[in-house]
Amino acid sequence: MSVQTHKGKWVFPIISALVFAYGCSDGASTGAAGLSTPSTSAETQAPTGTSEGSETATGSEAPANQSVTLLQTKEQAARFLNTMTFGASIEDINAAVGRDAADILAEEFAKDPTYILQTVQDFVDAAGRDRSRIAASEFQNSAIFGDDQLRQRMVFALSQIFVVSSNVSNNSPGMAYYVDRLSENAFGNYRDLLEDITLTPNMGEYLTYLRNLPTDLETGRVPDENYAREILQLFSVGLFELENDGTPVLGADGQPIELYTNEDISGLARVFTGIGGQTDFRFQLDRTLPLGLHDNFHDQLEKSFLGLTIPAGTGIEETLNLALDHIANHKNVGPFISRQLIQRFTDSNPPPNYVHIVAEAFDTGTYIAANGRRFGSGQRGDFEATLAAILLDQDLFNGRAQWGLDRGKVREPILHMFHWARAFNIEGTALPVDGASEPGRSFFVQTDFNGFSQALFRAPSVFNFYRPGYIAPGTETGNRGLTVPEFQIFNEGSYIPVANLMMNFVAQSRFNRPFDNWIADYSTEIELADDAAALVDHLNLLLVSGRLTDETKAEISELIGNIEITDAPDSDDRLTRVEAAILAIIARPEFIVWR
Amino acid sequence: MTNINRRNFLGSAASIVGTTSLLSAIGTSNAWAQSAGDYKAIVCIFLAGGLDTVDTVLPYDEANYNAFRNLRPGIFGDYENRYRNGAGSPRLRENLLPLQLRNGSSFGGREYALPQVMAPLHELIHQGKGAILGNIGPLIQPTTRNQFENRSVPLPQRLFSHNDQQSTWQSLSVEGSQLGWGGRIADAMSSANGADPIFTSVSTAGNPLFLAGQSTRPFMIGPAGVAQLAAVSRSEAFGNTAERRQFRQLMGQYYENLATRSENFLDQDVAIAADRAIDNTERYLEADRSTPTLPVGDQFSFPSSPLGGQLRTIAETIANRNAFGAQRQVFFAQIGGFDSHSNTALDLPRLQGDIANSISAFINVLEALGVMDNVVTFTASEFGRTIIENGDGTDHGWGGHQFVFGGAVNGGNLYGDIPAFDLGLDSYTARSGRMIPAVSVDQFAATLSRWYGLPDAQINAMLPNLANFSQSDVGFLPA
Repeated sequence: MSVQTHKGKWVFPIISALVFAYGCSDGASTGAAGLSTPSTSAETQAPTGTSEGSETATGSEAPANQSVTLLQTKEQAARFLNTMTFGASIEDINAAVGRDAADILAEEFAKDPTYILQTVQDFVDAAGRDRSRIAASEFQNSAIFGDDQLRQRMVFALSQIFVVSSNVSNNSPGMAYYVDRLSENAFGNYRDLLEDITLTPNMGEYLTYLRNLPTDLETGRVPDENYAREILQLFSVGLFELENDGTPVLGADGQPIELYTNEDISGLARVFTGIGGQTDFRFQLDRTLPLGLHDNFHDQLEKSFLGLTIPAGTGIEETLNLALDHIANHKNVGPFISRQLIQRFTDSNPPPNYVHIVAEAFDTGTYIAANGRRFGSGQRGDFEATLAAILLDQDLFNGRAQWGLDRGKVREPILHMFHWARAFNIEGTALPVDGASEPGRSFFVQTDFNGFSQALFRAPSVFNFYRPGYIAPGTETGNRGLTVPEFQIFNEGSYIPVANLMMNFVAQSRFNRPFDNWIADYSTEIELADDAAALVDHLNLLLVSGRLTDETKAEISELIGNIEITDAPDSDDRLTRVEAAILAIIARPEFIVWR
Repeated sequence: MTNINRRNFLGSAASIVGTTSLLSAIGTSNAWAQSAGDYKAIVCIFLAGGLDTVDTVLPYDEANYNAFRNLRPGIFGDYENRYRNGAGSPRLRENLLPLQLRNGSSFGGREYALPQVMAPLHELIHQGKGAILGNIGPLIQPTTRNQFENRSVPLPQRLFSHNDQQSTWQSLSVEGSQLGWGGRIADAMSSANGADPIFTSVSTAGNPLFLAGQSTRPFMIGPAGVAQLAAVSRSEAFGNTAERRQFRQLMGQYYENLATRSENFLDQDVAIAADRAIDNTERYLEADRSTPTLPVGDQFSFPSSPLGGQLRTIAETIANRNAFGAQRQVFFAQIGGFDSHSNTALDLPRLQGDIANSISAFINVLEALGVMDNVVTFTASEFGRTIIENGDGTDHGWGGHQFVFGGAVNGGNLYGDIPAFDLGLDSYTARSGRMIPAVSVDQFAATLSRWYGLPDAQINAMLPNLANFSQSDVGFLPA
């Protein structure tokens, strides 16, 4: 295990032999350089009762013949499932115990995708008009109720890299078509995804290359450079040359080496001309089909970028193929995309060796899990291999105690919401467009108000809700140079608004809010409510994979114990205990940070 | 361990202090106009995406107007198509509002104008309450076209990239930078705000790099105002019996003591964010309750837009300055939507109108509060845009024009320069007509810092490239 300090030097943390009684459960020190110590000491020496709940169990060393990815305890099962899904239920957790994470993952890869276009189109047809955010609403259903959890979680991750925002491109069938392309390619190949996304009408509209005109030497008009710039900077290679571990290659001046100049951008901008309606460049557009390619509106000049020259007069289809091949084969793509995907699933500040492992899987299209299971097609850009490398990384399974103090994923606000919805199996009696109620659907929750700061498919710009390189100024992580993208939106400015929206979900029955169909099933919890400690233990597993210390559990038990159970008729005492306990836990770092 | 001073939880008011409620009744007296004394504040309005500034401060003399129109036939045509009725295209020369600049004779006969939707700003400039900064942007040193094309002088890194140029405008360095110059000048003067200068910098747009200081960090106010925890303050929470009201107080204590028992840095940051959010919100509301509300009337009415809301919140915070004990404050607001690669004629006028109406209401409120001479408000944007068009939009540029307002501003002038629309000039890059800045962000920051009270030594330390320019002061504020 190694981590990168804020100075960019490699250090090898050793596991502290001394774990102090209070608050030192992450028994790792990043201070000392030296050989990586294969460590089994931390969890065995951690005084029980002060460690982060499940660490002892999570960190148990597997026998030599046993895969490290075997999920031996409920805590281990919950912890893994919460990376791979939008949140695990108790049933999911129980079913996963005793199984190997790699085998569970293989099942996820085999599941059929949930597509949303047909449903969205039906809604629009029934209503006779488009209604904003229907695609987001349908995706929300997939995320909460869909069986293909990993695929949908990947769709959410990809939607934050290949960003189309409904604050500009708000045609619902068009958004659904885009979301379905993310679904379709979620376990496929990067090169295919890049092309499919490039040809979605909503991306064409959002990044303004839809009906982009060629150079006009007479008026001086040049092609729109928007997509050329962002496909390079955000969707593929970034701005500067990367090592395969995601760190920048430094030039003789000690600075990162920029990959391209504006001349490359102008050259690539010519590639994305002549893309318009399917049959007519200008006057027709079906939002649910790939964009049309029109040679007669395509720039005929020579196109040069990143060392590739496409000769003058090359047809649009061949031009696009050459250009996308060239981009997709750039050596930066593996580390650039891998690091961002890791951030969306498991680690806000992935150390270079983790990025390297994942980028290798991306480049070779293969990942072999600890239990010997092989993932991927063997082709460069394979997302199945990439995801397996992210989710089955052995460091994740060695237990929290062995993870450095700089490791963990801050979960973005939408993940808080979906985790709650899945943990308590919301009923989702819905209000679709035609007004009919439909079980098993959720009414769309528009979250971008009052500072919640994140709404599905509605990033403020193509730069997403946050930047992968964001280092929060003036914070503990920031002082150490750790990237935590999510802190760009989840911070002291949004903490209370997020908590308040969550309150509206958790204690839904008490508020007259527009979430009336997000009705939680707390029956299991209400049965436990007489025994405050048992209730907290249960929620500790369900919401934070056992992260609460004994001390914190006792504190919450005592808090909710103040609500007396009276058994009066119509008593809401047990429900109140449940609501209070859930609120107490989801307000905590242990819920917000997955680790 | 996090070890932060906590204050008692006072939760009892409404969980969201709606900004509208603060705008209710106000007496006719000048009760709200407290003594301004030595108070000084800087307000940054960041226009994310890259404002098309040459279509904002337009050429007005016939030669340059015609040259500009000829360089952008698609966009001018689009304006004509979209405004076929009534007075016609807002970019017709006769539909523009010419600027009578006090230093108008200094630009070789070149004249400038604003679009009609910006009439309120036109008026403020004519009243001497505002000025224009022509062609400002990031520079390491003065740079000519040949020097740029040959890369023969040091240049700002990653020009034309949104995030990096936003970072450069706000911190003088590319993305990853940890200190904004707004935060650094807040640091330098925070001792004026007493021992606990919590409201020294305030953001209505998240946690901006601009306000990241070494010792100060921004108080963040959400777009809907300051929120209290519903689980503690809302009567619906847990039911409204006496026992449950008491339980809400216990919940309040629980939130107050949310300190993480983990040493993990991410956990700690979440706990610190929670702590600061809860603590600072109480302190803000405490001050707010003791301060008169803002004046009412048409001239004080903010547009119901994201910018209008943010500037109203900033005005309310300025009205609270005495309760906060604040003598020096730096504010940050931001709106997006300026990346006009296409549909310029559709989108830009609406944005320009919003900017003009929001700033105008803000300035009027500042006058009513008696702090007109104490607050300097400026616009910034990561870059201007190319003069050359792509059909119905433009691409990422470099230099751009900005506005600065306030009673202290030597108004009615154009600082810097707005070059003639001849792309062969030294003021433009060789391709696409990107303006090479005439004024650097460093010079601009130095001018503001000096007014704010920073000594020259501190300014020079903060802005090491300032020495590369012959003038360290742009001149729009009294030194």
